[in-house]
Amino acid sequence: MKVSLRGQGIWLYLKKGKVHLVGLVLIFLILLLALSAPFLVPFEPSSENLREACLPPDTKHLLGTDELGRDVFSRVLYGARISLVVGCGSALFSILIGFGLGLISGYIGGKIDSLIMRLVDVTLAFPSLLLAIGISCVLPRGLLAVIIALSVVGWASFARITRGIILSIKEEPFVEAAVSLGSSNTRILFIHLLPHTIPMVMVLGAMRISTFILAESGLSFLGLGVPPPTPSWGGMVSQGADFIRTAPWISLFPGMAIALTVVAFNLLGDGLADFVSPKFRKL
Amino acid sequence: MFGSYIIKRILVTIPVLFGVVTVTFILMFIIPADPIQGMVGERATEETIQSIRQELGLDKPFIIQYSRYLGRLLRGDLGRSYWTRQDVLTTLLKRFPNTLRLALASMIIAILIGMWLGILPTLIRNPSISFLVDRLTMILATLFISTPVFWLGLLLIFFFSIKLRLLPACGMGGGEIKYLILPAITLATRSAAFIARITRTAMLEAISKEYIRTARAKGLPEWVVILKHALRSALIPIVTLIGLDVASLLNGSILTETIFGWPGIGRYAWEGIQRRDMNVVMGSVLFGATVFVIINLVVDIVYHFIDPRVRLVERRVFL
Repeated sequence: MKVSLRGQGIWLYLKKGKVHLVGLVLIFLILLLALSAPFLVPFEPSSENLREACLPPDTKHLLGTDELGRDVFSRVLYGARISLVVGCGSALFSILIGFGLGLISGYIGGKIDSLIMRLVDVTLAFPSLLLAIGISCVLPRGLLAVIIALSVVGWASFARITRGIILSIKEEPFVEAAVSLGSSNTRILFIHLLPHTIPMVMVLGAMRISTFILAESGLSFLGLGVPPPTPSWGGMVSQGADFIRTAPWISLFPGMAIALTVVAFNLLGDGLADFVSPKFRKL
Repeated sequence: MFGSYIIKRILVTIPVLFGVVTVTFILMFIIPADPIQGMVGERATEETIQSIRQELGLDKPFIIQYSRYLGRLLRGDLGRSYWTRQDVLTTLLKRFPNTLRLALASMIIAILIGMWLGILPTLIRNPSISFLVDRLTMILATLFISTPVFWLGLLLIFFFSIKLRLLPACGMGGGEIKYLILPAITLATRSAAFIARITRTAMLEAISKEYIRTARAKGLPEWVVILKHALRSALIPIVTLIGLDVASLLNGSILTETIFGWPGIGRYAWEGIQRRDMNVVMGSVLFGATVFVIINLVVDIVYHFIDPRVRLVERRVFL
């Protein structure tokens, strides 16, 4: 599992597999659109205008308007911010928790290892969306609550992978050499072991962003995401569901945005996974 | 030896289930909303709320409430819905067959579509056409994996129920198949994509083996080589994934049942969320997690039974 992830190597690999590069370009575009949303949107995403409710797409409202007369295009662009922040934020928190606990579990071993691994087992025993629903119900609604709920669900797989890598390398000669030279546990853990775990964990993190974006949209659809009027893609699809007969565009475009973003992260994640897996790299 | 593996695997499951119960209780304990308020409504006086709280033991310390909760669970008591006053476990058990019906139907669709998509490129002898078909099927699989279930459900309702008027959009009628088609397809797409991916990988690995070369050298027709020889050895990872996916269908079923008004446990959980009926939400979470753990246990045992290599490794470990 010892993999070196040099920037240039990844770049060359992604360039060779053009499909993965498409993912990277798409993510860059979505990120750019989300960041520049305040300059691009023709209307305030939350401003209501009942006279223009449920208008189909035209030159004024590129993606139409919703039941409250809000511009769907503006809301889709702003919704990207929520999805990206939740996706990346949940991946980051999950990595921080899982990576830390996995390091401790793998290196220290013994009872602490057993305790952490039982916690992992219990977390993975829940169907992830169900657990996220349970946690979301407990927390006051908001962006942070969604990130916390998804991180509590998502940390376990990171912990298990980090522990596995640490277990596989902690008996290696270079670690034994460090021990015999009198290196402290902290030094061995952070200087010798940690760098070997980073590539795989980062790849898993990139792959998980798409899962978190889908989960956030699912929670928002169920009414457990960021509260209105803040636009979130899942919430927009949910609102539009009641008007699917008369104004299908209200649900259509936010759903397309979710699918496109998740496709982009999946393509990139697949590319990175292929890159770090020597078996696939040979192909 | 096999019997001891099953016993060992069941024993491992018990602490996990205990952990699931504990996590669910902690979630209920720290819930900010007052469950009594949900039961008696907003007009109740403070004295009434206080006396019900004492009566239910909700004023007791954590550990006492927890031990009482465990006792109630052992008697199969998940509490009553604040909204309908019906027993939560009874309702869940009544609705579970509906969820199971939907899950099984979608699993059949997922296996048929997924395995077919995964095998198709290997059945084509022309390398350039095979490559093209392989790329197309994998793009399709990525799209299936990336599409939100609830959105796909809405699209299917829009086209097949509203525009074409071919299939019903909501409910399960009197149990007719036509009510099952759209929700089952919606729930099946993601699983179909994963099955397609794993089938493709397993088949590519299988056709590179020497016994496949031998089968071809014997002059067997290509479809016999692929479907009889290669597919047989590729089946183990596919069966494992299918088993694990049955459990994960519970995840998708919440969203699918919500969209299609399918009266299963997913829809029940959603109704609980809408009404902030915490007994229903947590009862559904606990029930779903327990089913998830049990299905995973069964899959592990079945996998152990069908794959002799796993048994061999286990035996070496035991020895």
